[in-house]
Amino acid sequence: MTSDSLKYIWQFALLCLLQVLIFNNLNLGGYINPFPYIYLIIILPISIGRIPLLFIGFFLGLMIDVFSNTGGIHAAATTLIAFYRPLYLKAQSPREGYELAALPHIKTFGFTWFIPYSAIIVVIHHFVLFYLEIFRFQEFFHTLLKVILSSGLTLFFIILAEYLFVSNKRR
Amino acid sequence: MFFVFLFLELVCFSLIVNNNTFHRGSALSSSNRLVGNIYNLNNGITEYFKLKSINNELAVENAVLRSLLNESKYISSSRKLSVTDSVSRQHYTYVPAKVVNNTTDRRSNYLTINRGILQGVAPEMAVISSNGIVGIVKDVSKNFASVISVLHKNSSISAKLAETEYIGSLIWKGGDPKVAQLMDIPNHVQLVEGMLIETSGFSSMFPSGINIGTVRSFDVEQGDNFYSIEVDLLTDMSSVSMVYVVNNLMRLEQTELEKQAQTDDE
Repeated sequence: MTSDSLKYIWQFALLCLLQVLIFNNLNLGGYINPFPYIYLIIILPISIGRIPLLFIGFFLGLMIDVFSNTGGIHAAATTLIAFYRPLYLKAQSPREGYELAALPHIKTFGFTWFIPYSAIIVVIHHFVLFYLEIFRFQEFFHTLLKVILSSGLTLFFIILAEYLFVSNKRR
Repeated sequence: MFFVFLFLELVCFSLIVNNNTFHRGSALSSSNRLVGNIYNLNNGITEYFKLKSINNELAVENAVLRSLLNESKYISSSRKLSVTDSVSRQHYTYVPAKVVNNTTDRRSNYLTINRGILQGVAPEMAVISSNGIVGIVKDVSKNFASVISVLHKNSSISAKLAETEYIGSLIWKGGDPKVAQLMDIPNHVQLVEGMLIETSGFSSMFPSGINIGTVRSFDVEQGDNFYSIEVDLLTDMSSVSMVYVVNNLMRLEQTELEKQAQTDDE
């Protein structure tokens, strides 16, 4: 258990650093800003309590906010997806319930389960984030395009991470 | 459970609202020490990849400055009389700084520079590069400052058409980091593509005559009395690296006087 917690703390720091040092500096024509740091919210164990998950989401977003001078927009978006994730998992739960300590990965639940699960979380996050960032409706379609393109790229990085870094052993 | 969620979201929104004002505690911004040091470390590595272009930029600027030295001027008067100049008092001083973090692809962009309170940087000071304007200081810590880029949704800089003295304000509508927009130039002004736009000196932050950009294109929307002008920025915001923080020594005097005039109105 403690080694698991340590693993997630390490991933928390690593994802924050990758986001602010690398992904924040990807300059793709002003339309595409991927935010793969939310991968942490996606891969936390299914059995995690809803309140700890909310706080992890909040502090993860806050960390990115501090580094990118964005006040609280990342924290608002990550708190929302941390709130939403258990609702989605409950609605999609298999008839016999989830295995205890199951981890939400492609390797455990399969590609067709993982894609809609992570896609909906990514899209909600990016939607809230980009609209909070401009805080007005004048540039509605321009922002919508940003949401769609950026979500696509974030999802691509998440799937890449799934295949590169998740070991084969089943839990 | 739901109330915890609500509470956290409320905290987030108060942070967002706070972020839109100057002079707030700098604990939660990139002028914070930990954040500044991480960016500094990262810049120490990535800087090497930019050395060539930085060198070029500095060499060009050195050449320009050298040509302004007294030694490089021919004194045509033969009188040898020393004059202590009591007419020109120092109005602006400059603090050189290095950009340690920078974004251009957000709707509201910020830079972090490696100079802070200890080097005399304070909020609302202007930041310029050797090519033109860069932004305005927002928060400062001991050794770092975060700067609101020209490429920010609330950025509005008093600008004038260099040859005509017409004043407008420069904003950024997002998208291309090389292009900004100039508003409020009346439609009877004769415009030519390539006209220079510089700071007006009307705000207490920027000295007058700092380059901003050149007119890229312009048109008048139906029934509008003002041009919408697209401006090619002279500073390449995506590669800006060495900057100067401008300290207006008479800023306090000017802003207090202006505030006085406004309160007298009410």
